Amino acid sequence: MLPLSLILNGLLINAQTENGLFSPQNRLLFGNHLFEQKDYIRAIDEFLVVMQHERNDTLQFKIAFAYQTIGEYDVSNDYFRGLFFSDSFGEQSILEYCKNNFFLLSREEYSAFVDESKILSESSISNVESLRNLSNLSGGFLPSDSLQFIKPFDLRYKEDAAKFYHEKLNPGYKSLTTAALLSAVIPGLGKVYTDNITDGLTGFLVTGVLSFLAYDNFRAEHDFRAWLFTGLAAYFYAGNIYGSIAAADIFNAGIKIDFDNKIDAYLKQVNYFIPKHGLFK
Amino acid sequence: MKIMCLLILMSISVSGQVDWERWDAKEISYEIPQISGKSYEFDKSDFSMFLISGLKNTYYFLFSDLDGDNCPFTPSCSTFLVQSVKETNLLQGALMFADRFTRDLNMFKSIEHYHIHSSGRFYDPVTNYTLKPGEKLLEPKTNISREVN
Repeated sequence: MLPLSLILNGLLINAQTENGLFSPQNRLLFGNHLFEQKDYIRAIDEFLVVMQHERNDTLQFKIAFAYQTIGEYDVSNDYFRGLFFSDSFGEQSILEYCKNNFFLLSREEYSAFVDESKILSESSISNVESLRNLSNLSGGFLPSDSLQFIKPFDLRYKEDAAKFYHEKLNPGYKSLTTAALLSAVIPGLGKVYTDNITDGLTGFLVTGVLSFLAYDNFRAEHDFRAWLFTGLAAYFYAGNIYGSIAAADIFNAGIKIDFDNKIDAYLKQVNYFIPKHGLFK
Repeated sequence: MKIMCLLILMSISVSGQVDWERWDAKEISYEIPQISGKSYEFDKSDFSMFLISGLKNTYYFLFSDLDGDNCPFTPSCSTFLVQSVKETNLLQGALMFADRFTRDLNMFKSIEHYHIHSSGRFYDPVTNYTLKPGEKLLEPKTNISREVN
């Protein structure tokens, strides 16, 4: 009796394994669950197995999207490329393909890609051009014509784009020459100009104290000490001028980094001007 | 059967207790490890580096070794001087050091724009002051860093 029940159990488990548990339908369900849980690597594995039995555009798009999300832009592009002529995913795949290229290519290469691209339709070209124009701002490129710059942006993004353009045009940089001149006139003033107020005051005090010591020793006819303090005062005076120039340079670098970060955050927020497909809404 | 079971259980418990090695007392050294490895080497690559490394070694010998590692910045002021001369030249390096020394004297430096390094010190690398484009590191490398063109 016991061996018979064991054999039956074994058969049952085997049958479930062959046709039930690991069936393409179940793997698809499990893959979809993983995809929703954002476990993209495991979801891809499941979808690839299902694709061996049944190819469909939804699955291919999901695989491409999953690869894109985990940063495998090259592989993702291979899957998106196969969907360019799909009825339901064609337009979206082309946009996502362009987004992948935005990450893969340098700014110059991406600009050239957008200019020369023949796969873009009339409706999608504005999205890609918006991405190009805005990202070019953080790359240091500023088009002379603001209207031309804002033209491709959708109505809801135009105001933000204009703000970014204006900010790039007037970044609020501090002049290195002004910082140097201010510190030359009053030691430390250049530092105050670059928002390093306490450093400026310290510079002023150090140079002032050393200058006073030099003057006082000259008055008391202590020549060696007088010249020693004169040298030190001159050294710190020159160092302060140099420091003010460097402070202005650092201030400007900070502004540039902040601006680039703002652009990056904004692009993420608007999903790189690519509308989300119905699958992911 | 019972005796067999008891024998197996006893053998397991006995073998479990013979593992004395894990419970041995370990020899622990309470000596404070040497954290900062100061290099007293002379840089003979050129005259200015030879001069500056000599100055730095004198400072290490006469002050730093006795006073301790107290600079609030990383890299420390002495290292900053050596690195700045190495990165630029004797004159520019000396000016950079004068500026760094003034900033070190600032009693309220914590309200200035320094990032805090993982060592707990103010992060102030030489590359920020060389005035060369594309070399600024405004944040410590241990956290997020970004180079500026």
